[in-house]
Amino acid sequence: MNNKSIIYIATIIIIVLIASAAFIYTNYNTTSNQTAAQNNITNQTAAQNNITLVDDEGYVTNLTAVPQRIISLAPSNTQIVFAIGAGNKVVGVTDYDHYPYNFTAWIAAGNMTSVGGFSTPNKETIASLHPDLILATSINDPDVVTLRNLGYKVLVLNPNNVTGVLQDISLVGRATGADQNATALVDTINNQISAITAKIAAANETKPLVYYEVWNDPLMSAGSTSFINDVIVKAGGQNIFGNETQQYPTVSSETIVQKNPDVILLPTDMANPGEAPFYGSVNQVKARPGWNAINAVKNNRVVVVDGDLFAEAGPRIGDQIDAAAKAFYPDLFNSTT
Amino acid sequence: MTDKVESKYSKRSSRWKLILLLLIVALVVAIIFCLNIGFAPISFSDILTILGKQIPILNRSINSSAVSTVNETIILQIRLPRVLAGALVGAGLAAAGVMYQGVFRNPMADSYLLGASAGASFGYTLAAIYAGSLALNFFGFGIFQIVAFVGAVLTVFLVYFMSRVGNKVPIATLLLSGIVVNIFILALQTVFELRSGKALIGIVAWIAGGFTNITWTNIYAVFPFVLIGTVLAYFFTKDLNMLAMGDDTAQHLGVNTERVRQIMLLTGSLITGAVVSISGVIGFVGLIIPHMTRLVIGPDHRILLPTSAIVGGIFLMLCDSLARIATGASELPVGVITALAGTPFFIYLLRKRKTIYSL
Repeated sequence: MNNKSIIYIATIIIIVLIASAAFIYTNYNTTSNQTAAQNNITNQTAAQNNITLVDDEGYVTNLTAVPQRIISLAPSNTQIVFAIGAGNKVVGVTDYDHYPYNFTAWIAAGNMTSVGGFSTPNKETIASLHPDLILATSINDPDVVTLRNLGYKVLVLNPNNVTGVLQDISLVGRATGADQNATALVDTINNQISAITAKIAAANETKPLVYYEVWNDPLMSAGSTSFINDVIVKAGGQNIFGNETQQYPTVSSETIVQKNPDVILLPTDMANPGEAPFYGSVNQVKARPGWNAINAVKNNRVVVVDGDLFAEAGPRIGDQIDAAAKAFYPDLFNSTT
Repeated sequence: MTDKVESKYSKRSSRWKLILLLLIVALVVAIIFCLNIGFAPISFSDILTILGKQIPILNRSINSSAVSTVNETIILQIRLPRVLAGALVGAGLAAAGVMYQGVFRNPMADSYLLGASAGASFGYTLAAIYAGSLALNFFGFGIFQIVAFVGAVLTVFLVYFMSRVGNKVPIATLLLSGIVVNIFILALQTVFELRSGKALIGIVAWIAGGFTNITWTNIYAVFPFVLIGTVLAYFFTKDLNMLAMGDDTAQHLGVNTERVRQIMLLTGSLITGAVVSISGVIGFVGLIIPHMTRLVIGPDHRILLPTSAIVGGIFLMLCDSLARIATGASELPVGVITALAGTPFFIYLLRKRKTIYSL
């Protein structure tokens, strides 16, 4: 390599670096303004309808009008929107949405558009639907950055417990102009939960030890930072892994036997609610080596619960807690059903 | 005698120039073709109109009233950066592959050997778990890209300095260190993946490779690395040719083997780190594209490097287009397509030529 080559190389490097820096700098300032203007749909007077929203990640979004075209990137968000009566504004859902309507059939019939799966929402589909509000979860964090750079209004909902879900319902209510419905829904849920909690407190029984099996191979349960844990606690149970800070810790059979839960909850397959747990039958679970020593197995308190319902931080949490309470205190809740 | 040698040289030189020219034309055609592919149905004439509007002088004679702003956004802000990213990443990976194969004199070498992919994946995992909600925006660079790039580069440096013995870096040691560090980081990665909770899907999807979140800023960030790296490497292609004859022979011919290795590894790793930070870990391109090109064009690095880069770019763009439309609204990971599509074609080439040029 002689001096001439070095000079060539140095020149090219400097030119390219300057050009890139210039491009990045100019583009960073103008892109979001341009595309925001392009995506401005409504012509309503901005001043009156200005809504400022702070989502679960602390990001501040300003809406200048009530959204008319909403895209949901997660089933829990879809459910919230429909539960507060703003469902007619939803123009895009994911492949995994099944509630409260048969969205798969809607999509097949051409009355709804799917934006893809959980981790890869399709940006082109989203753009062609020209939404004025997108409801995401923290799973979509990288996509949220891109969508915001393209000028879209995105709210990230990330509830980790019941209180978080209720706050999110209020947030979505404010965002969609359905404040009253949202407040009513929150009150209903609160009342439902209070009734359950009061009944349990009044009965003054010892709290049952509960094991919730998230997965069977390897054995995974729900820790203190998981939503499932909050449901268990509110329903008056004691999660045997409630001291684990990990959301979904991998656990050993031995630990479960040693902790001796009174109730075991097994989730069903999301697509086949009501049937056996998606990885085998209840009898198979009971027949695991050493498990015949567990109270739950001995007393036949291995309960199959709706995995779909339990896993979702949506408006049905009252029902989730109800189902759990029934499993924990069968004598208390039999008559009310 | 000199006349014959000279005419042979100029014939080969013009043959090379022709090949490069044809490939560049093919690249442009492929870009326009890939712009046509995507979920939103946009007509070809609309695409040309939208592109034409961006050219300063031409746009006065273009009537663009029929094209909706939504389609314009889709093409200019979503599809075009994505297609260009495919070309850029493909070119970078293939070029880095040529460099690594030249340095290691081993047909199985690819740019992930020294841990760039492991480092980037691990960095991304950490960012996804602990910093995902930080809407951090460093001139448009997300926290994910920065951490992935830093992870890749740090890992390669770690492997390199681990293998240094005095002033030399023996190849076998380098390879072993790379393997060991890869395994180690993979183990750490697994631990963190199990702790990741909700972030897991995103992490796994990103590592599998994809262009779903490409923005123009990504392109501006990565382009200098790929361009500078490839141009720099081009000045060393003669040295790589001589290196292929063995360390001793190369040294007798005046090549500073140690320095050439250092520079080639550094350049290759920087390119790999940069492209992996925006596209995830896409396999096959860095390993097989150089071989495919070598089977057709020959082992001379002076033509092999630029040709592999362009072929890699075209290949990855086409694979990404397939990944975009294969399954309705959702997408397939691009790494799956590269392996599925590339392998049969590579086997075909192999059968036809019946040899791999040994390095």
